[in-house]
Amino acid sequence: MAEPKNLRVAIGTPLSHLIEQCGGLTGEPGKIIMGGPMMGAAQLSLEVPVIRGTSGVLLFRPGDLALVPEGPCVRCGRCVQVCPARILPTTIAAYARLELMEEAEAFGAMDCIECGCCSYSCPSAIPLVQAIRQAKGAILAKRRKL
Amino acid sequence: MTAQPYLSSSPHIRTPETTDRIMRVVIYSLLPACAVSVYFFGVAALVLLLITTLGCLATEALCQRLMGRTPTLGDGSAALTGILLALNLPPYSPWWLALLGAVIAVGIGKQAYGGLGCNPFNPALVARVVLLISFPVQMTTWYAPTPLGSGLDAVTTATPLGEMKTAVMLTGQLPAGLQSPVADYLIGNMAGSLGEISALALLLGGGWLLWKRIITWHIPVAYLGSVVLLGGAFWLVDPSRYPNPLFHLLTGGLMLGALYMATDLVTSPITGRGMLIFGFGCGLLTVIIRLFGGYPEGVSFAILLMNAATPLIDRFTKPRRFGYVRAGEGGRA
Repeated sequence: MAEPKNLRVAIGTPLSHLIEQCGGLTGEPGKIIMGGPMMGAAQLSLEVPVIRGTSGVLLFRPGDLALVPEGPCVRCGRCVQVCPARILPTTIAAYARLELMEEAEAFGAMDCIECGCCSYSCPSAIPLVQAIRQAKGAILAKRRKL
Repeated sequence: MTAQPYLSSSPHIRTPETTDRIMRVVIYSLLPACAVSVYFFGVAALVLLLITTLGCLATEALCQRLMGRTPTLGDGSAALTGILLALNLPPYSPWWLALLGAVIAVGIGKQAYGGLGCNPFNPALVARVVLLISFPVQMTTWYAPTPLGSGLDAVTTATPLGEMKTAVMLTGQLPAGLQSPVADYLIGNMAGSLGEISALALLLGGGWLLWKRIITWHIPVAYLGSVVLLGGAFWLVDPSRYPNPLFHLLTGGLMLGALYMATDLVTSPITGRGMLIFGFGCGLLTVIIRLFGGYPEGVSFAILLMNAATPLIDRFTKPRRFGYVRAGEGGRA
């Protein structure tokens, strides 16, 4: 956008209004993120409203999208080194992708805080957080059923 | 708005680091060791390096084609295996030995398990040990180094570790003067496989890998440290029979093993504590094989044995999760 700035707005204001206040778009947005680059949620359009807890809006140009093809895990252990919850992201993600949710839970999937450090640091570009999130969803759904 | 914005799970940014880049950096870090081998063993060393590297790349491409997979030659892992394999071979090895090694390394050591990231054992070491057991004569014929321009002919000789083993077996004593040429051992002016001779070149490359954070300090420190401690303990007990720790460090394949083979990402544990245990195990086995085993050198066997223990080590070194008191005793803090 033209001039990034801090705005005080009412809850419910559409993101497009915020963009207008910042001088409008300078190009087509490649990705719209509500929140920060590590934990924010990607949005489908600029017509979504500001909600409680919207800490910021981030726009990527299409060229900013770091789309690296995923590779196999080489067990470098970087995700383990950076994990603040001290779990084993690569192991949990591997179980989650095989739909072995009980094993994922046993390795501490529910303790993941989804900070994104593991996915950020993965040299093979494996979407670790995404896989762990899916495991958490499946585990919670199963708990609710019981 | 025409195109739909891209949607994906967070995080939305990632490190510029890629697996390909890691492999390339490791290959560059081996250049000093390769240069030393060419200096001491001439063009033959270069030819061996080329045979194994091209052999590994060709095997990788062939296996992936047969399995109907997309070839991944560009990731550099096959080339790296090839270079490491050459550095683990005796100088002037016959071409067929090197080529066979390359096929074994990538075909049996790596692709048979499913390719990059799936192999339990270090592919280059698998090939080296298969060759060592199948072709003991070719794999233990060592040559004294003939520096470029020295005009010397290649002469077969024993490695310092081999000399030690023979003398200790025959006389129960270390050969006189074996431990004195420390400077030669440091530069690499001794018999040995292509890449293991120069501790200095290997330390240079290994230090660079540490600096670039490709490897962590855990495995090299635990491995070298335990060899120094255990080797040193025996040396203190009987210095006429057991060599001093510096001799252990500088001769044989220890430096190459501790800095490059044991730190192989795929086949070593993923946690720091696990890496320390892994390194210590390698050190213990190396010293035992060197001093009491049938082979003069134990680095490759030690690392392969610890590779086999890696899943077990990973299982028992799960980090204590944030917010938990002592794993196993239950209850949140």
